[in-house]
Amino acid sequence: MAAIDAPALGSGIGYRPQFRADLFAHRDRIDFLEIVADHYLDATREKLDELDLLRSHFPLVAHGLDLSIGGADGVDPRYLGKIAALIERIDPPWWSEHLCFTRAGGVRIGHLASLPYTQEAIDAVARNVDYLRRRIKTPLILENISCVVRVPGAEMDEAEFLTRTLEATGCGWLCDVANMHVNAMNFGFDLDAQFERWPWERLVQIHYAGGRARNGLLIDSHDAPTSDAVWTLYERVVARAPVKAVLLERDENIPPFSELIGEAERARATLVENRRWR
Amino acid sequence: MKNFAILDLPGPEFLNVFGLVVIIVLAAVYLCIRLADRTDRRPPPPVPQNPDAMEVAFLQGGVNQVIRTLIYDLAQRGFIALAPKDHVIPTESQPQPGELNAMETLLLEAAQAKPKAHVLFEDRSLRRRLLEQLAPIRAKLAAEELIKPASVKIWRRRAQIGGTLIIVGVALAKIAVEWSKGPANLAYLIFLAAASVAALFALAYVMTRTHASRRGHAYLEAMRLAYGERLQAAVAHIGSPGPEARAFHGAALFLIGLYGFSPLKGTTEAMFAETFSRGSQSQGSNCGSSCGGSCGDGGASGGGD
Repeated sequence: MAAIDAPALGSGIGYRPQFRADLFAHRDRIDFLEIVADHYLDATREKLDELDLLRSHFPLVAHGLDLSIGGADGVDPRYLGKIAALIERIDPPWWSEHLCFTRAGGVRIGHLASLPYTQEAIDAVARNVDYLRRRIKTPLILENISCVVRVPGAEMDEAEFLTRTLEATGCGWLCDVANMHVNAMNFGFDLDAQFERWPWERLVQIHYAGGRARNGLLIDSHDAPTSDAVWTLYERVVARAPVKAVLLERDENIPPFSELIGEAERARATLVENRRWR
Repeated sequence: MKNFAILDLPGPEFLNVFGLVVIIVLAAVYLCIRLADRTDRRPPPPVPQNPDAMEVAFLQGGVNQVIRTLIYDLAQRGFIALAPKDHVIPTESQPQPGELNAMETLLLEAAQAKPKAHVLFEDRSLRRRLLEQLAPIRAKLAAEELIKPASVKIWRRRAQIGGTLIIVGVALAKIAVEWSKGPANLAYLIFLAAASVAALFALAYVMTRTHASRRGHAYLEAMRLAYGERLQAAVAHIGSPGPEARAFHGAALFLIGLYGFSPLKGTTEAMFAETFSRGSQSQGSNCGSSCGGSCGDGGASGGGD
């Protein structure tokens, strides 16, 4: 059974204004867009016009950055109100947030920080999801993040933490295959061996992207073409689980748009091969 | 007329009432013209992936904008050039048979006489023949409700006539009443009535001067939002030898169609903006001095709806 009741969206790109003109000139080659919700929360008239223009030409989903869904001190109601207004405006089939915290003790840390893999953290996420569902009825899906450091005192590994969190909240999963790969490399776990332990039955969307190595660590920097290793993982995931949408993230070193289209088309070909998309 | 109490009001009080009448008339004129174009009940069509520069130019500014776009195109291709004193002249370069389409050929023929830029806009024969060539584009835009419906012109005329009759009628009635009482200073009332009628005509002009319907405006705005930033950025590369300049050539006609020559100010091709700002109003959204009051029909100057 699908994690959420929503239509498949195909192969999309994370929207960045830098390639807006290219996007419209190649509209038929992009199935949907994901907007960064935070870019439109206190938007100018021009940004709202842009949003309306995008919405009238593409299926949209929204991706939040700063909800701090795992925060022990709850979700900021003002921030949530703005997200709710945005979701109402664009009416996406689902929206997504990172399974992390970005605020603690009222202080914004400006970073997607890993939650401790504990039952207490799962309970906090479940409380916050319960709270936000009172404001936003659109299904929320949660994304696994890449970690720089792990919080000590873990009671389980990431796969189990994610599985139990999604069960506790009833949320779908936004699987970032690049983040999975980065974490496996940086923390030295065998992704192949534990592949079946991830919550595939809750998969809704995939993110893929390229990153780079820095000081011996892989960084999910969204500034390079998707690596062969990530493509291999992506193909395995698409073959393993029904997925409604796959999306390329590219934030820096944006190449000619034809390269982005090339990646999106490669991702779409895999969807089609596996009958996930028409 | 003495049965109308307001006509017996003392001067200042009557002027207050008269001002109110003028405001109501202007509001009614606004509503009449506004409601005659209800094309914005439908959302604009999707932004095209490969915009047709001539279609965009015609929608944006009628025949004037088409002329600007064609001139820029022919100049880019080396068949015409801008000369001192705003003249448009043919170059020695000759097009190969079949190289130019009908509209380009018309413009090139018109340039053989080395006219000043404004003459091209005032050439009724050229405009008429261009409009003939633009008929399919015009029909397509009309089918999409992107150009102003004929009802706008009809209601504009009705509103102008009706509004003028009310304003002038009230003023004349007051003048007649005052004269019947003896000599009176009515200069301010006459001035106010004249200014009100002028304001009425100005309002009607402003509301109908553009060729695009409300839906058409929304469509143009969507195109500007989708492509404008890239086009404006590309302008910075005009004249440079790099790949950006080559890329710009593909977008140049679309840019001129959408914005006219004004984005070229400050570039190596600023002479287009300068020459044609003297030759016609440079903002593409107006009909220019040669429109002859035929705004709304593509600047046909009699070409008619």
